[in-house]
Amino acid sequence: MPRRPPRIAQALLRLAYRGDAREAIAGDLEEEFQEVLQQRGGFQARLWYWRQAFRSIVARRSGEAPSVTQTSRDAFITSLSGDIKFGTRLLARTPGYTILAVATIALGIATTVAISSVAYAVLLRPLPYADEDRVVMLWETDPASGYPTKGPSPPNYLDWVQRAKSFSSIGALAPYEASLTGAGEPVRLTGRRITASSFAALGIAPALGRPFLATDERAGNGVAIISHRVWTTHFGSDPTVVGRTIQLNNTSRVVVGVMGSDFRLPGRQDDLMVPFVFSDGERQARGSHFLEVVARLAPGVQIEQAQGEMDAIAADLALAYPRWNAKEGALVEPIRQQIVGDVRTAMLVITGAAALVLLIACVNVANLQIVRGVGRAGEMAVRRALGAGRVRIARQLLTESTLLALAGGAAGLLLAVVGVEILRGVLPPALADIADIRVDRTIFAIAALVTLGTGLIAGLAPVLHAWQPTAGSMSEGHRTSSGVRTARTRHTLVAAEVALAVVLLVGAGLLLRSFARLSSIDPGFATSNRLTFRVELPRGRYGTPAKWSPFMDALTARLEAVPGVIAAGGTSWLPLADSGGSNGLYVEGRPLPQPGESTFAIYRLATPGYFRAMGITIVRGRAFDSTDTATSPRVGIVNETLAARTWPNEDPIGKRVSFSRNPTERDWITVIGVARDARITTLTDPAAIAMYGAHTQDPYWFPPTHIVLHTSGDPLAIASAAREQVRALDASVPVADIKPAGELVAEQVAEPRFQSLLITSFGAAALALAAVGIYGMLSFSTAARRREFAVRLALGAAPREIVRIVFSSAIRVTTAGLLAGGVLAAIAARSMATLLYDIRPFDGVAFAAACAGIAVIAVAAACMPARRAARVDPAGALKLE
Amino acid sequence: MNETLGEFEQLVLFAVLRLGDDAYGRAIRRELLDRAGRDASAGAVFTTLERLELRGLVESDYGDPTPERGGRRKRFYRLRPEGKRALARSFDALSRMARGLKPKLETS
Repeated sequence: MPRRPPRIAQALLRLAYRGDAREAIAGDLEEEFQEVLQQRGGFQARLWYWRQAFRSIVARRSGEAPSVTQTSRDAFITSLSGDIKFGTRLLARTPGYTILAVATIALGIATTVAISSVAYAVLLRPLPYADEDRVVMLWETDPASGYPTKGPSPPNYLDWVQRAKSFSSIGALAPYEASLTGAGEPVRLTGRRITASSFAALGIAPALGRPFLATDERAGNGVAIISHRVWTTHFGSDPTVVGRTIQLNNTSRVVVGVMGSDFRLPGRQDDLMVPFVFSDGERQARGSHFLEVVARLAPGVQIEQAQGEMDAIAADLALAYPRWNAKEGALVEPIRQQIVGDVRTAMLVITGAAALVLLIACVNVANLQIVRGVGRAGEMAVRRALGAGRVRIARQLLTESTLLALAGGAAGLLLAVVGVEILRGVLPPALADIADIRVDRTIFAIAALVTLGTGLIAGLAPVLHAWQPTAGSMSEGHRTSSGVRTARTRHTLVAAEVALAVVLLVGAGLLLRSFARLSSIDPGFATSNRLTFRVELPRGRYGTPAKWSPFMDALTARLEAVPGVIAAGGTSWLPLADSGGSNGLYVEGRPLPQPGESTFAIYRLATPGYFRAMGITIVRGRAFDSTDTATSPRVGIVNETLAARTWPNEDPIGKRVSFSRNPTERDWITVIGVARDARITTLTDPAAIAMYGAHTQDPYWFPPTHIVLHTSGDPLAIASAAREQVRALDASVPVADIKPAGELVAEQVAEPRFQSLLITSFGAAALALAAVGIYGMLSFSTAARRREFAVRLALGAAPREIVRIVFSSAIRVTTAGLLAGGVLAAIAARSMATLLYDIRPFDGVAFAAACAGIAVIAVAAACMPARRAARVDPAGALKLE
Repeated sequence: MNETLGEFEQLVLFAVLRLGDDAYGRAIRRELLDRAGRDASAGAVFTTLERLELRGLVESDYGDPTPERGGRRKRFYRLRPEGKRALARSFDALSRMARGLKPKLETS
């Protein structure tokens, strides 16, 4: 049982009373507290003390006579609490105004906080690597090829490891996939091959078990590390999983570690890691660029020094291996750059837009406060007459705007929490993967700062206004020169608001138009009524065309027999999903290309039905058919771009090409058809050079495991029937990634869609706020000019004349805002250039639409005040004076 | 000098008068509660007494610190002659005004 009164209540009491008073009152209360404690127990006594302390403090505040012992600190607290009380009462007396102001601020703060929580997660939150700023990625560069960076090849990587002194550790990774069997349904997992040295380079370690060791690489394939996700979903978070043997691609591996839940590598998410053991072929393949290389800077080495050393090494390698490395450079890049590089501009633009919305909200509240301030000119005059200094008046006004900001901030934070949930739903996958988005303590701190900042900014204009010498003279305040001056301040603020709204609307317009262009791109293949999925063929049983082509033929035949399926086909890689890799192409009868001059063609195998099923037209020649067998002459189909580039004025049909520099007879591929260009790598890249091979004939390429079905109705309705057919043919083959082909395109435009969605909603908010601003300005000025209008009407002016006066002031302010906004928008648009597809930053339509939108809103906002002004009753208005 | 007293001031002065040598905050508050049914806060009583002291109607001095008060001293009040006169005047005025009216207050 507590023997002492509650400390906090005592402290509060101490704040309110000093010296003798404090001693007498605290003593009285403590004495009685002890009695209550005896009679009613600790809880009741504490409650009692709190109540008494509170009442005593209130009694002090409302006490009419000042205490002789009061000090200046007392005076400050008393007057501050007075300010708060006065402000609260004032705001409560005008609920309409208060709600408008609070809602305005809440809107601004919610946008800013929700967006900054995303921006923070993406751009600033520390990555899960030890000493993140020492971790870099190493790339090969080949500026001439059009690919600024590409993955290093294994021999180059091994040479770097041998020579580079700038790094304490260098590691390599490469994509990896495996079927996990023996734990329920067979499941396809994606992951990485990863060298033991990568763990040191990244500064990561499993949460459970151990990382890979150099001995794992010598010993070969026997171990694996699984992700936290797989650990929970497939192994029931069982800690004894370490040491257990699992089946990956039908080989046994021992699980040696489980990664923590926050573990992430650059790029996609990983569920699985196996030691990176280079095959003999890989060690030789200097032209195979498929590695991701991570490194840790050695102590004391700066990134520029490391870059210098890598430049020198790259130059050496270019001399040593001119055939492969003649044009290759090397790039050292901070790992954060790699992870956030692509989204950085977008996030900065979006965050900037959110800040603009907040700024507009502030301007609006400032304006509302000034309007109110004019109504309070008398009050301010009295305050000054009674000796209130500038600081004292400023404090009163800032207290009020801070009260508004606090209420708005609280409401805004609630909205933001909801907003973040919504954002998480619409976030494009590229962002969702790397960003662990939540409203946490940091975001909370940002919100608090933003709130206080809002209070200050919104309060500043009214303060400056109240400081003007003429403001608040006790006579005729608002109709003399001070009236003119407030009008000017308010008009400037509204014009500023309009300008900011223009910036947002232009940005929204640009992104929307860019998005529309993107969405209307013809991908060159059909996306409606197409179902796609992937079958995972175990390499042991389906490793060669002789083994996989009977399976694929049987499967496509079975699928085409399913009711609702019009055509079925398979290919190595679907368009827009993955490039799948390209090969150097050699044309029969032409000299071998110089080093670095080779034509590279994206290469895919396809079944006979693929072109029909995917809706890719064969414009010349024929598609593959059942006569193209393992023993018949090798045939291929080229796309239009390849045909036009290689045989500009000739018929490509019948020409022979090869992927080998020294082709044997079996390496020659005869062109039998030309396929229409399809967007293969990305939606925005029209000029991919591509070639298709018959799936029965090439044992060295990826089997046609990606299936596409042309359906007569909703493609997803076929999904379970398709799965059924695969199982009936071979129950051990997993089916993955079932989705309509439309999603291939949708995934490509997910980020632009997200950006334009956000900025457009910001633009709408800005437009609404600007409308409120214009309306407020006109309502006030027409009310202030009632007498003038009455005189004009009485002297015979037509109501139309009055309407014209009101509109002209709206138009003046709006035009000023449009001009300033146009300039600002032009500056902002330039920074957005990289986000735009097929739209220039100074797109006339976007600028015109933004201006038109503002103009319409301005006219609409002016209608009500204008009508009110025209209906002034001259007699009534003049009598009022 | 014509001192007018508020109602609550009168109640407090009566309590001090009745308590005699034992008139300090806690006791005054109990007196107010028991006799007048007034639950006044310590702060309100103190502020009132402070004001009355400023006007020269009461005077005060300190007792010894006691453990049950957390080692704080009691502040004892008593009426000065001016206080007694003011209280008498107020009370007289009130009783003269009220004389014979009690039955009328008891209707309805």
